[in-house]
Amino acid sequence: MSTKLEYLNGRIVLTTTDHSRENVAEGYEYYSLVQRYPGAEDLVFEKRKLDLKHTEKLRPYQVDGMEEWVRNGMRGVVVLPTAAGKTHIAIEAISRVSEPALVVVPTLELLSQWKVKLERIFGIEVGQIGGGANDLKDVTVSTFDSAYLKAKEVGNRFRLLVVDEVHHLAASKFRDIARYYASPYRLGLTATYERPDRMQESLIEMFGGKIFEMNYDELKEYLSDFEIIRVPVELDSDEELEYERNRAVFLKYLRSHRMKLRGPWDFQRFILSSWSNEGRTALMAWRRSRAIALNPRVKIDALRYILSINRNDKTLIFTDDTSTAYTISREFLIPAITYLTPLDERKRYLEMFRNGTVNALVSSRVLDEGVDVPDAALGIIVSGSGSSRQFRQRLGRVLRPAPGKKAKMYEIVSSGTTEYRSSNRRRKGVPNSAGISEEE
Amino acid sequence: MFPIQLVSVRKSRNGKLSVKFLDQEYDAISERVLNLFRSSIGEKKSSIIEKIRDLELEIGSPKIVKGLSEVSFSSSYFEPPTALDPKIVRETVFSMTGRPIFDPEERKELLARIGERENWDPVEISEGLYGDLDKEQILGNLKLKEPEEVRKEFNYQVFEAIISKCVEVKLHLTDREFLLESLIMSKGLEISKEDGKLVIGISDMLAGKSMKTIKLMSAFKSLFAFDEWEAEATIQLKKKRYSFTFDSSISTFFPRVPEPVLLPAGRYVEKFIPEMGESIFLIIFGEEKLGVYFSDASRVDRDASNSKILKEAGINLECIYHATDKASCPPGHYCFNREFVFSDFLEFLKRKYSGRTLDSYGAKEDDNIIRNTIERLMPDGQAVVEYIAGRGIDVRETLSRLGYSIKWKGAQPVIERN
Repeated sequence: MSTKLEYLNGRIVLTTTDHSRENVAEGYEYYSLVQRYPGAEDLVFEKRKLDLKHTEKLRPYQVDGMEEWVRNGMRGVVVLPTAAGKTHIAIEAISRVSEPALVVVPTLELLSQWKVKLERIFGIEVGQIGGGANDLKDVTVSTFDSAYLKAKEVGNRFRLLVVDEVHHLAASKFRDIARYYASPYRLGLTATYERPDRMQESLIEMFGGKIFEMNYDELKEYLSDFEIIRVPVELDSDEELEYERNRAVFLKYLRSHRMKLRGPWDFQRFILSSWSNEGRTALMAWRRSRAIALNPRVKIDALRYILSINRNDKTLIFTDDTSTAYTISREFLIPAITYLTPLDERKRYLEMFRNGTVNALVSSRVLDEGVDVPDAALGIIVSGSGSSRQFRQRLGRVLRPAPGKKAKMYEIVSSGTTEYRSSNRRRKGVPNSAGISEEE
Repeated sequence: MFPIQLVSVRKSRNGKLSVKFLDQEYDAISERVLNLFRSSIGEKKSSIIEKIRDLELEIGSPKIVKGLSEVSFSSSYFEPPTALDPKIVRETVFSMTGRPIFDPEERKELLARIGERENWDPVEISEGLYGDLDKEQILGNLKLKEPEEVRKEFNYQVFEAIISKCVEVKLHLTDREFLLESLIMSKGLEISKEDGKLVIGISDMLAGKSMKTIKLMSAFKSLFAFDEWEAEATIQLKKKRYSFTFDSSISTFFPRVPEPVLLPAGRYVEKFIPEMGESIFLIIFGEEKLGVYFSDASRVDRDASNSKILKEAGINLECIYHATDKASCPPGHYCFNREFVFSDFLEFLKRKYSGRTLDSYGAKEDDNIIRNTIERLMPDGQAVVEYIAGRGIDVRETLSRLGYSIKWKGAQPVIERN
């Protein structure tokens, strides 16, 4: 009696030829089912070899990452800092497998960038799902949303599944992409694998887990030299008073409810408790004190000073909120890119930055990831969260190597506020050897 | 409509829901919010939002302050900070700067140079750079002037938010049952009867959730003008169902609905006042009036007698009959089967009264009124849809005819000029 494997709406159906037994498994379990039933009649994929060759030269660590991926059965997540060339590893993987492949990316910008790159490197026509297109080809790029919507329909079409910024796949909705696609070969790419909610653990079973990682320290010779400079600023006296007043309201609430904030989960608990008038007042006081700490007036002066001493460097300015981004844009007459910026303008500004028509951009969080930002030599964090993931993403924006380049990342931080602790927190994971200095 | 998070409700263990409406005691808070808006005329929306946050903190009833502020926002007129086109301003400025202008003097000179070249005021350039952002808009004026008005509109929005979660309504109509029944049907709601109560089952609704809410609210808005009815609504909140009971006295919490005209025969007819965009029971054609109401074939004789009475008051009466087939439609009258469509009815009237005053109630004059009202209500898409639906005409067709388009952003309609 033999067995048969078939794909049906995101699931693998295993039947014995006499129909005495029928089992149903999730799409991602195809890989293990094939190993468990080596003699099974496999109707899941139409097996077809492609001729996908390229002439790109891999760096030694990229070769190591690739070898590790192959050793792990062509499954797993490769973690490399921004600017370390994750795309090249994906290109090599597509070439090694040389079977139909789907590349899933989080944004429309990355969608078109990947498509152009793959077409150029492999000299083929690449399909696109998402961004108004539904064009399936042997090598296809897709947005997360479209890959999710199409999962049950095309889940047995691509033997290789490449997911850029794979940490997003751990979110509940997108996890179904990993679940429904039957692709036995899987490559995840990210600069920031660990999530604050630890959901990355869900990727181990469906994606093969983290198989290769290198940090800034280990890649020094391939990345630009860099220096991190913290610029502490003092709040004005009226801002300081306002900060202390709001902070006191917030802390009083925490004390009276015997709450301690030791991490995101505690903060979640605080938010959940803020449904009452008292809780909401505390929440608003926390927001207000945070806003003062992140955006005091003096930061604009500090920024003015930093820009004046680095006037010729290509500069990216990062803020935590859109309003500050627009204030900076208006004050220094440089383009701002926020989630409110129309797509055509966003493209134009990035192009102007790329070709040097403008040498500075200010952005709230939208340029942190998911956008191919042209190289910069100077980064200035005017405000940000305590997330080391965000910090590393922002740092990566200035690390693309160039002859003689020494990148600088400034952090403007309000002294005597919680922002100072956030600044310390977010630096975790940044190499110790980096020159971290403090400027007065 | 408020997001449901802004609504304060109490859920009892026996599945009853009580909703917090604001009574006169809250006029003091309402006054504070109104004063905040009055004193902010000429300021940006972003600064008003900041002030509201402070007020929330000061008063300690954040949900109420936020809700009252939402009402004030939606009844305010905002204007762009300058007449310049922000997109063109950005294109011009950023193509001329190249690098950050950190020296204030240099910035001033540059803006002056751009101003001279483009014939723009340098101050306006800075203001106009992001003049298309919502938070940059300047408060021009307020529509609601009294604390009571704001408070009652708040209550209305709360009620609407609750009704948006409604899956069934049972109505007990103690008086004028037939008229109210017709009235509800005229909103495009399907009804049935159960233990003498009128049941509006939401599962039978035609369109998506937001259309359901619009139709239900339109029906309740009409009911608010009448006394002596009771309602039991089944409200679904987070997969649990609750019973919310209320009666005609609830209307005291809401903005006043225009009073119906009392006819000698004891029938009520709602007024239709184009300027206010209210219901259609009494149509005014120039100086002539046409009374309209819903009826059925069994009442043809009584309708004829009402018609005589109205004629003496200078009003022509047109009865609209609900008829399941052509045979049961009284000759010479307008009948409908499932849904009353005002534009069809208007065509019928035009044909019947051709050459008379109806032509002066042509599309042109009507369209102008509708267009003006839409412009006044923009960008509040919900208000625009309610206004048009409240007139009993096809929302999509009307918007398209007048040069607008409608999109749905979640449950919120967004109206755009073509």
